[in-house]
Amino acid sequence: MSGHRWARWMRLLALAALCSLGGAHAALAASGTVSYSTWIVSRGSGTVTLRYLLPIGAAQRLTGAAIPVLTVGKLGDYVLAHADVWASGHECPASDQGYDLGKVDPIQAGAGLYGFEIVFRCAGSMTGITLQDHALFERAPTHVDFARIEMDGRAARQLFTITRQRLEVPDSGPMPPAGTGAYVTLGLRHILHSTDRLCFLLAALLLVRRRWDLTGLLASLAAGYVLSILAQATGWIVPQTSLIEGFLGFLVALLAVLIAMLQLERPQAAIGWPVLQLVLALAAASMHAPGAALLLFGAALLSAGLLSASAARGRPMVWLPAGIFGLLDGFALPSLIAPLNLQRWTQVSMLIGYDAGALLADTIVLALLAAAAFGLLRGGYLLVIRPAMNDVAAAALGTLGTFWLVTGAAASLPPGHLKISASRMLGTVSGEPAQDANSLLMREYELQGNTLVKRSSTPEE
Amino acid sequence: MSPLTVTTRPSPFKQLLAGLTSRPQRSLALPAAGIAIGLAVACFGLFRAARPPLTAVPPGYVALVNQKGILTSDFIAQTESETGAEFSDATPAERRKVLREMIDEELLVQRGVALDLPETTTEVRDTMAAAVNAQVVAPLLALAPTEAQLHAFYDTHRLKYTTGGTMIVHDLVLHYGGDQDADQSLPQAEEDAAEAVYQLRSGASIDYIKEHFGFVDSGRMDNTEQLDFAAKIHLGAKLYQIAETLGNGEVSDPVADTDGIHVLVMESRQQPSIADFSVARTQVYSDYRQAEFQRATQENLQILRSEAQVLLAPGESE
Repeated sequence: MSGHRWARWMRLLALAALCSLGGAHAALAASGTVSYSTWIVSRGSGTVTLRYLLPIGAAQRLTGAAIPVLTVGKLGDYVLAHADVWASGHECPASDQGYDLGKVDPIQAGAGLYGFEIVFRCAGSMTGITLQDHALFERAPTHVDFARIEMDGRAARQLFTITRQRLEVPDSGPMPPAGTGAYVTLGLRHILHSTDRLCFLLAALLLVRRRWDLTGLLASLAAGYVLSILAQATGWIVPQTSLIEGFLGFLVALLAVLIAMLQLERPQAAIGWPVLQLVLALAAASMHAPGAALLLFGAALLSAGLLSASAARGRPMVWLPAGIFGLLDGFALPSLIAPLNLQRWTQVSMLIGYDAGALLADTIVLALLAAAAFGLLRGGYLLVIRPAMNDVAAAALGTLGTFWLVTGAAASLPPGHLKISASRMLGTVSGEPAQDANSLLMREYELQGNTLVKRSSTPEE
Repeated sequence: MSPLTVTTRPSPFKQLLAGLTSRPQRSLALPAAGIAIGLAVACFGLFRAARPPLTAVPPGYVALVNQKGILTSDFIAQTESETGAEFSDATPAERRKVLREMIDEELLVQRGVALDLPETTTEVRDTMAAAVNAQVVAPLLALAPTEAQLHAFYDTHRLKYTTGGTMIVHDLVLHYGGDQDADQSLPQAEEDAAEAVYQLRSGASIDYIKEHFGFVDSGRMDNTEQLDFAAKIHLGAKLYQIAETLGNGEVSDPVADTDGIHVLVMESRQQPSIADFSVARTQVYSDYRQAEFQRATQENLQILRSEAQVLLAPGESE
């Protein structure tokens, strides 16, 4: 019996190691990028002014073929080349803004954002106006541009997506806003293109034993999304995006531990998971990251309680993690549109469609996976492959979930904080004076002129 | 159970062993508490309280423009400046006009910041630099200098406060080597000039020297009384340096210049004198303030440089 248990542990560890190699790529596969544009249509002066804001992370996706070296100027030229305005069947050219600015004026958009302003001047009558935005879709098919169309003193919210790169402005009357269906589609895509969300759904389904459990799972997801919408409606709390992503990773890993625990003869071995969370919490606290420390400490308590309760009942309590998942995933859209500073009720109306789409995607994914499992069960294959399948899933999902948890917690630290804190910790341990991030950086790089160049390896290395 | 069945009670040791090794019946209370507390703690880490939007103007401000405040004190000062009267005397229409202008100005300033005008427009940069310097020196200039400070400044800068000296000087030149003086070489001209100087110092007149040695007026001076600064301009630095050392009636040694050998004859010399503090006080005060301004702005620049990382392109220096 002990040999069997030992073999199982070794198999789990080996699978975890293998999956960590392959899973890292999937883990790093980012979900969609976003940008924010404001189109100000002025019929009187015959101009359309475009203000385009692009997060730095999204801009970095363009590095390579699109933009060999990412500079503000080249990024501005890229935006100019991928945004068009047409009126009366003719293209409206971008006008030179003087003061040696050229056609694209870089603007201060806030931390983490590139901003550009382009003025398109239309000759002739301002009828049949078409706004076109093609930026980033060829590099990131899931890219979304949250647009605001201002005209005649009124503004309307719209979306540019890969399937919707043109918007037609009505010749009379206000510009209609994007319908709820557009946000439902966004929500659908959000789940279907997010590796971590799909992993959670897979892990949850692996814990489902009965049809009733599946219904409870969906109900918990829906309750979580509803709770998230209510929280947004009050406007009392604001999420910390990187920590939310980390906590979603924790949920994936937690379900993986549940999957493994329920197959072990000694479920007490799963205590290692909450202990790991406590260790990470202490590490985060030592780095003066209170948000991450609180998160990890809470995760440790939650893990211990959930694993203990599941072991006592002999059945996994998958509905609780599902409810938490729904609650946290419901903050995905608010995190994306935070730079827009929208009115609360505008945000809630967008959120209802988005979360409905996300819930629909959850349902579709779970239904497909359940159908596949049912087919395997009917064929008698499930009973044969289930133990191995659970092992593979537990190892893979546990590795990925832990990776997302740690990277999400680390991402919540200020830039350079991790390096400084690590160097301070090393300095303290070794007794040498702690070094700051600059001196650590200059060990690897040297200044040639005014350019930092990575040092070549020394013969001794 | 048969009446003949004998039951034996396990020993205390076996009871203890059974208690330690048997799985206890656990309730869900503790796990539930762990879940609840864990969720609450995690939520504290995941969320923070949303900052309430500013819907009322805080005290001390007259308006908020995109959450940036316009101070009431600024509003009062601008109203008084535009109306030329006390703020309490300004009419509501005047106050509204001033407030509207201030809000328009704030919107334009915020727009200028968004367009990054301080980086792209020289007029804005010049104005900002001047404003920073003015802000740095404002505390110093608010303090009036004491008499002792002014005296100390005057004592260390006496040479700046001289009354202008004057001179009547004749600048005689002996040309050589030109078309009209082809037979006059430099050594010969120097010898003639030395003899002319000897004669002048012996009492010969300027006209005699001109007639016998070929000296002429250089034309740089018009033989009238000139202030020192004017004489310096006319004579040039080289000759003025010699002229200012001459006293009344003195004759200089021959000086070679580009146009010939010069001899300076000082007819009348009034040396510059240092003005009394009471006479120069106004200028001293002004110079003192200017010196404070320079010192404060330079110190500020030194501090800014010490905190900055300045990289120069290859081949450039400052």
